[in-house]
Amino acid sequence: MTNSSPTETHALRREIERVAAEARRKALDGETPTEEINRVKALQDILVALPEKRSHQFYWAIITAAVCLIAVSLAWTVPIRETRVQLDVTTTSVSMRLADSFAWSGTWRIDPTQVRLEHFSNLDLPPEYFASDSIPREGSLDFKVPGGDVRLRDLFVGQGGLLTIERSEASATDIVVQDASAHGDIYVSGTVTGRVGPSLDANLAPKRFDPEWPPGRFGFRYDDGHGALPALLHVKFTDMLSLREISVNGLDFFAERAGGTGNPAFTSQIVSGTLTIIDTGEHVPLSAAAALQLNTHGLVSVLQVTQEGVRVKFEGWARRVELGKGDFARSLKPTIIEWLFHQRKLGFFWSAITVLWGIGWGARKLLSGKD
Amino acid sequence: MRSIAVLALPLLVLGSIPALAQPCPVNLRPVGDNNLGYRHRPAPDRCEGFYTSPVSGEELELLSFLEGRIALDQNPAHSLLITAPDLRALGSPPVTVVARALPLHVYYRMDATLPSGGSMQWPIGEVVLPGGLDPGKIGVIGSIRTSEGNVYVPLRISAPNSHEALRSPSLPEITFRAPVDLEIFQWRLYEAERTVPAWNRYAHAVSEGDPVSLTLDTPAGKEMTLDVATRPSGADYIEIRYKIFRP
Repeated sequence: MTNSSPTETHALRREIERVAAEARRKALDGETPTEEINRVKALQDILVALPEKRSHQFYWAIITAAVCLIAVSLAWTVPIRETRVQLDVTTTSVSMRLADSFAWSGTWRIDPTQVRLEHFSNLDLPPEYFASDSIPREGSLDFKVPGGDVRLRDLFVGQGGLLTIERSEASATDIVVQDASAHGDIYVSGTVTGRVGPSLDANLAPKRFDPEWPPGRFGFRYDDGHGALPALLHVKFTDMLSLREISVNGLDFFAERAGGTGNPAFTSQIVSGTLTIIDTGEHVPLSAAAALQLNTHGLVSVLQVTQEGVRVKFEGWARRVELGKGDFARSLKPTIIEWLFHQRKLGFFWSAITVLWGIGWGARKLLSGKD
Repeated sequence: MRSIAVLALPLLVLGSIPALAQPCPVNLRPVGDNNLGYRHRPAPDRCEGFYTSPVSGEELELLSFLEGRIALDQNPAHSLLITAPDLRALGSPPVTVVARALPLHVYYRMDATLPSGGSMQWPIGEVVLPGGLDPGKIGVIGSIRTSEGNVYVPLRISAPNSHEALRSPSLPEITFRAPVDLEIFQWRLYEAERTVPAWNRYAHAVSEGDPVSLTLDTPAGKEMTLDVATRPSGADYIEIRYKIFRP
């Protein structure tokens, strides 16, 4: 037995409809349409007896369903390209790749018993030192002002620079700059003693900067391309340092820790915090040493150096948001369907209604065999 | 000196050396009036006009560095001649000229670039006077870029063809503006690597917006350092260092 073609089946149905219409006409005219009724029954028996061939419509339905399944599966599993994140974290170390130059001006009081600057291309000492011709004007500077007053007054880091702020124990803070120019000023009142030079081998003769007069201004400058050594400002702070509006295109909370003779080990310096995936509203608590790996750009709205550590508040876009390391890293980026659901809730609702209605209607047509 | 004047006179008569092509700062928001708003203007090539600013600056501002200044009339038909110093000793770099209003909250600015020793006609009847600004309340500074940063050079302002422009130069006067009340204003001027002088103290009280003018007895042909230290009321000292050069 060969399968009937859709055209033959269609012709049979048309013939049944035609004969049934003729029977109705006769019945309405008062006649008895026995012949037509028998013919309709015979045609219906033939229609039932014919083996049914799957229509093109059926195959299209299967293909459409498969495409929909694949699309939904992809949307369910593939993450969006970038997600918006908000970060409020306390850490002992943060590194920022600056998207724009950063300039800070204010007053940050630092412990006068220990101030160290390393690897600067120019040290602009107060003119009171002019008489000391032998003093080097580059390299490092280590000084103290017992009983005096020391303040960081200005700090500038150029675009593209890597700015690292690291707070160690005992309130010591390192500000490290590389890959860009940087400069700043430290104001000093009191009697300054210390050493200066590439190897700190020249003594600074004691100089007194009377607190009643303008302070001594120790300028420092680091030129991009000065060398591989980053510029370092090492201080112990007495006040909180608060920096605002730092535009970054990289944020990192890892620091290298000496691990003997093996490979260098980078460990997360996060103390605590919360990561919020703005696109989904998901809040992820960050515990100590949480291995948060970000590929991000945005704005550090506030960075505060406090006794508790370095507090960083950040908002931006992230291409990579992972928590954990190696095989245990999990991406926190939302999938396309999660993003759609959270971003376009009303649209998602109506889309779901439309899709379900379409599926139901299509299935009804398919199963009933009607066009 | 007379011979120098005779040699210089033809330069003034025949016309000044044109100003260099001037890009305008893009971050200034001009006022609504297009005639008075800050924008590029030809003849001479410059950016000039009034702009709006949401906040005032917080730092001491250097607004004027001039070598003598004649009395300025208010005739709209007149213009003023801004002359840059001859900087052959420094390799004849171009001089960046910035004019700004001295009163606080008056946001007028004119940017131009002059060649070393060049000058420009500043048509005060085009923007300054229609904007209601007294030319005498505008500060003008000139600076050059070096690898060590900006070096400020004194400009001269005169009426065109004025014989006053040819007089022997007087000592330059530098003018600052404080955005807040100052308890103390001090300065010292010295040559690098020489014995540093003691701080001078400005004798007058300085209130918010007051211009602070100093006459600098600076030697010709030497780059000098001007340290300025201010202490706003109830705050810490702020020090600013300027490099200046008088040819």
